[in-house]
Amino acid sequence: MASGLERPELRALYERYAPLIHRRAFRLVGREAEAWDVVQEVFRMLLEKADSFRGEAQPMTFIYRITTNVALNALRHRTLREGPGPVTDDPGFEPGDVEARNLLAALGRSLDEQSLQIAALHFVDGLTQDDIGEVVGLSRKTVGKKLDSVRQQARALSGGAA
Amino acid sequence: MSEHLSDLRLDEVVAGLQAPGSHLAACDTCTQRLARLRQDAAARRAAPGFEWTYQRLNARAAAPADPWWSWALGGLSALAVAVLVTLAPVDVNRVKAGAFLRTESHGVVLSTPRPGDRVTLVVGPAGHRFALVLSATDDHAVEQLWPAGGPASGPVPGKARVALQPEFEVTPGRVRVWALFSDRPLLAATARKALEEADRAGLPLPRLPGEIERAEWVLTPADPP
Repeated sequence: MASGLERPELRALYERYAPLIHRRAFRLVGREAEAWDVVQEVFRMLLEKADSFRGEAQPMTFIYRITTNVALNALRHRTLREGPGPVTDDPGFEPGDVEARNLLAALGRSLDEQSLQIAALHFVDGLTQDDIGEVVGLSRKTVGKKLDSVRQQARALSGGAA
Repeated sequence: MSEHLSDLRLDEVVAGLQAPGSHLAACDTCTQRLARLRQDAAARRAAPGFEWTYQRLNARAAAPADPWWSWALGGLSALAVAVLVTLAPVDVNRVKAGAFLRTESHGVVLSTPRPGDRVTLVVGPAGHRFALVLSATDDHAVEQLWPAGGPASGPVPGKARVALQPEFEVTPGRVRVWALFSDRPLLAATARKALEEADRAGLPLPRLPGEIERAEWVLTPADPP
């Protein structure tokens, strides 16, 4: 295959990572079909970067980073296309997840890509600042500063009530 | 929260990248979370979207030199093939407000055709670029009505009303018809399989990955004259 991956390797990677990519994507975009679209896009990127992915010392952080980016882009495009509104097709979704995603959709208009990713990893995934730093390649201290900035913007969005 | 393992660490264990380690051996909370993540992964592997997405991915990976949509156009040649599909007299229900699906005869909407009538499926794509039309009878026979025999959704012109060829001859028997609209091709085999499984289980057709909008007809036999 021109991607540099033989079918058995692609299948093995897909079996291993696709379910968790979908779980993470679904938490962010809230729609089953769009989450599978995210899975496909993440794997398309993996196929393009097959050699560097094979050499990743921490493939899961790589997966987290790409998945979060792709899912947030999907969420941002949807917000632009459809405007703010219901973001999930799952009636069983936890209210906290919905609130976090609505917050991300609102922050997406003002935050840079990296800050938005940090916000997602913190508010949606509940990752520690150490883990977030590992995923985005920043120190814990820098992650903490960026989270402070995100919180300020979140407070501003809610009129200072947050 | 920080004393427990994060989802990132647990995902590494689920994916087989890390051994469970001493914390998991001693922490019931994290052990239970790990079990839930494993169950969740198994459920997603069993979901229709899992295999469907892999097929799409595999198709693209196998033919990267071609435009990503090119594989879908093979279905166009099948449009010239006349296919006789059994449709019963209809009672049309439009499910979505934007896109629509209906039958017409000689350009006139025919809401209650009789057996022997020849009708044309007409869709309103509502701006979507592709359509796939499937039907299911009460005895769970699923057919792909359009594109006839094609491997994927067919492209539809950007018009408010699109007549799909060929015509169909109406025969008795209740038939439900779905038009699935999308902005990129949906794999017909996967859609048929999802419909077969849902229909036999008595469940609604699940939304397919990539599907944006859907119009559904419930076709019921007309009263005898």
